[in-house]
Amino acid sequence: MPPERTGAIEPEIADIARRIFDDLRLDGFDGVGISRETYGPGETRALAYLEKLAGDLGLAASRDRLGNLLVDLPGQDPALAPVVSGSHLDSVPQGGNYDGLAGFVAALLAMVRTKRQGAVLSHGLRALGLRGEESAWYGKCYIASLAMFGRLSSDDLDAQHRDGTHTLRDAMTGLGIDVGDIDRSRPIVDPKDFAAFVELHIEQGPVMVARDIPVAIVTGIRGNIRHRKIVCQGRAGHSGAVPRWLRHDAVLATAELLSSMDEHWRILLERGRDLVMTSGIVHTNPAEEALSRIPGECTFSFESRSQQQETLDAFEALLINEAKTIGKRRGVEFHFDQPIPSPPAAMAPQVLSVMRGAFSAENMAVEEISSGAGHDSAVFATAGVPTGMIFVRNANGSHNPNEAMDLDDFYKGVAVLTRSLQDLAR
Amino acid sequence: MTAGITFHDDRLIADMTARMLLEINAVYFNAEQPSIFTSGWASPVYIDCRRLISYPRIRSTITDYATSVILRKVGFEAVDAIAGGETAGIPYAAWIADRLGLPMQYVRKKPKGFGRNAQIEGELYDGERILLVEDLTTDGQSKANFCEALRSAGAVVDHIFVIFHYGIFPQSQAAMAEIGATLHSLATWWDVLRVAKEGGYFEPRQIDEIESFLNEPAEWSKRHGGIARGDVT
Repeated sequence: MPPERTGAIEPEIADIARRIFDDLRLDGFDGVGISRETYGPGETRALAYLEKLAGDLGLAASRDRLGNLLVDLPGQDPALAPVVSGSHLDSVPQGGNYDGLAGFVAALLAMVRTKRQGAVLSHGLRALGLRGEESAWYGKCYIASLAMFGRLSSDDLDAQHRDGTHTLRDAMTGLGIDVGDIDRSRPIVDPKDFAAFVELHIEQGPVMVARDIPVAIVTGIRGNIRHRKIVCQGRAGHSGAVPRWLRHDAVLATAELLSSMDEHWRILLERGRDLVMTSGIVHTNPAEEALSRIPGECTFSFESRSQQQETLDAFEALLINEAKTIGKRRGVEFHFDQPIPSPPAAMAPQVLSVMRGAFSAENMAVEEISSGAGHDSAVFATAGVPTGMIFVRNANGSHNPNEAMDLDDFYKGVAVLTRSLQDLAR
Repeated sequence: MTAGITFHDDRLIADMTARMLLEINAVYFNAEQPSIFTSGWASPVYIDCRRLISYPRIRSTITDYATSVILRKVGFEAVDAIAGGETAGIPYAAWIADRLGLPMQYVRKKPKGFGRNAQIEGELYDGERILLVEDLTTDGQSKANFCEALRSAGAVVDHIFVIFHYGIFPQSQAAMAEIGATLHSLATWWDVLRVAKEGGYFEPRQIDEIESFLNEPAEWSKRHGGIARGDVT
């Protein structure tokens, strides 16, 4: 690759990017990392800041009925649906600054560049700032994008905040959002309202850094099946007085289940299946736990992700089966909550093709990668909107305060995003 | 027990072993969904040597070849017992031990309880010269665990026999030198590649991909989302 400037953007655009990231980092800092709570104060302030900035940059900004931010640059033909780009503005607690925000900023900058270039496009361009993507606060991911397409339910609105003090419904109505349509699972948009949806996002994983790829085209998004709370019920007892053959130890049973699933996972990877599994939350009952007490209860979360629905379904069946077998052998019972599924999502061939063209036009090697993490794009793709994603590599992973992103890589992403949106909008 | 044993040359043994593996579809190819090893290494090819046990004539031939290689390269009176590595090494160790009229043990992947024989099943005497048998090895690293278990139990382990040695990782030699044993095998990926080309077992496009991986496994792994250094297993 010749050492010329590839994927470069204008210095004044780079300045705007830096200013937004710096301002919102300061605003969202909680002492450890960034906390822009879903339908909470940090997210609200970020949206307000960006709405004002959009106006200052000469673009029309508004909100939809769910509080999402819409920034518009009209096209020549108002009858055509806009080409939409954006991402979510909430973060996990003590998270990073770029997860979600980078995608909205990229979309906004692509529009500013398009406007300043005076490009003539048939379709309008729209930057979409979504609320509520992260599941960390209410246990439900893609809240706003699902609600847009009528896929959120009354039960979902009753989800408890992680601190147990209020529900999602309380938070949304507190912000003046009318949840009537959501209660009836009625969509507020039609897939045809989007000519396409393109989301730029940090990779959040180590692969692009390891392979030295700054920007890549995403080919598909992993689906997942999530259990927020599985409870293993055994029998408590005195840790000294009860022999092994009379025990029903909930922790050992849980350890055995997770260990079995881990071994299945290892073998499936060797056989070329795509799969990750994680138990991020595991604990005994704090009211009952004690050093000298055989644990009668163990609660844990369990999620599996894969690009293949078939693998997800098979692995879930394996989990239930192993739990039954181990339960019988150890005399414990595993109680499963309703699993929350998200289907895998494929990116649209026509959008992929446009993005490949954009990479070439920017003299950047076309690199493709699949997405391990889930994104709002999955909701759009599943709804039938032609969808694409662009990944920007980032160091130190994500969902942690050390999440990093090289701004030069980001600018490359903005360059290909701008071209892609313009090509889709012609 | 060893009556009628034939000492074929290495090349014939390699060709025949490769052909047997290909004939029973023990060689898998998938470049789009590569096999990911525990280490994070990505590979477009995967070999299942365990499959051989289901084919009586093939497993008998493999046992013939194994015994000829062991007698010729290790020695006629140089092995006191055969130990199979859990799990896939066990049937082959059993057939080889039976053919040579030798005692057999098997070595667990992990010790059960404690004591110097915690990883060994069967009877093992101090100073016994034991040949470790396994179905395959990628870079030799995984054999270290078994060798250490056998030596802790008092055995002398100078030789390891596998049916299939990947033969594509430069670190294999260093791994075996560190273990302090000689590795013997019937076939490698190069033999499978040669026989696959001659026999038309894969399409030219697939052959190219396999060859690209075999020539530079670290590069291929890295390009397909896997790691590119360190132990393979």
